[in-house]
Amino acid sequence: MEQNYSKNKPQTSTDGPSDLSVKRILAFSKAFKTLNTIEESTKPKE
Amino acid sequence: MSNSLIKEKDAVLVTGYINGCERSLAVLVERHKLKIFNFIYSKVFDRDIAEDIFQDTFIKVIRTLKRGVYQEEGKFLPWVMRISHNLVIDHFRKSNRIPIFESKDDFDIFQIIGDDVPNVESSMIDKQVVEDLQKLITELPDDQREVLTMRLYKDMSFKEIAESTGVSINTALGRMRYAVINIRKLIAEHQIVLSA
Repeated sequence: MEQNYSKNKPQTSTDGPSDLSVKRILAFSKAFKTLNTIEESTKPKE
Repeated sequence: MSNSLIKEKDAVLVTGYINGCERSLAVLVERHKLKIFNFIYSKVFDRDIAEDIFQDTFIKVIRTLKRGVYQEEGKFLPWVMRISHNLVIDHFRKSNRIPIFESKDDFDIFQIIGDDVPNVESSMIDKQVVEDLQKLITELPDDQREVLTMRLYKDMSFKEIAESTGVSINTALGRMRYAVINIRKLIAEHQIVLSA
């Protein structure tokens, strides 16, 4: 008898990443920007 | 979040972010997070690992954009997906394994794709078992070895064995019984494992 396996398929769609993941990415970006700004401002002028 | 940014194309947001607009990145992440996360999750099937790879993907995106080496060709999402794909590969390389499908309920993929052909290892074990058994049989008394050989290797019935050896069926059965008992003793003595 033909069996229906579709209900057993692994779930591949989710409700997306957690808010924490998104916040970490944005926080990293801000920190990266701040560090770059500090680095630029402390570079010895030629 | 600014409404005007939400309507902007990826290319405009990328340029804005490179020029220092942090909100542009927030819009890009919000716009594509579901597609990217689901892509990663579909490969690793583990929410925590998918979260890590998702974060690492955007950390790479941020570093590349801020270094000014990203070439805008209107393909921001495919580019990010490629980064996440490479990170998924890295993950499997590091963990030295391939993705594992876990059986759920009574579903087992091996019931569908499995075959009955023995692999090399089980063939070798089977061969070894047969050889060990043959050696043990040679140690049996002649009358027991004769009955066992006829039964196991010639597939003869006890009636045929009885007629062939000139004894009663009960005697043939008794010799077979002692042969099995003695074989068991020899297996224990030689500490042989007769199983594949």
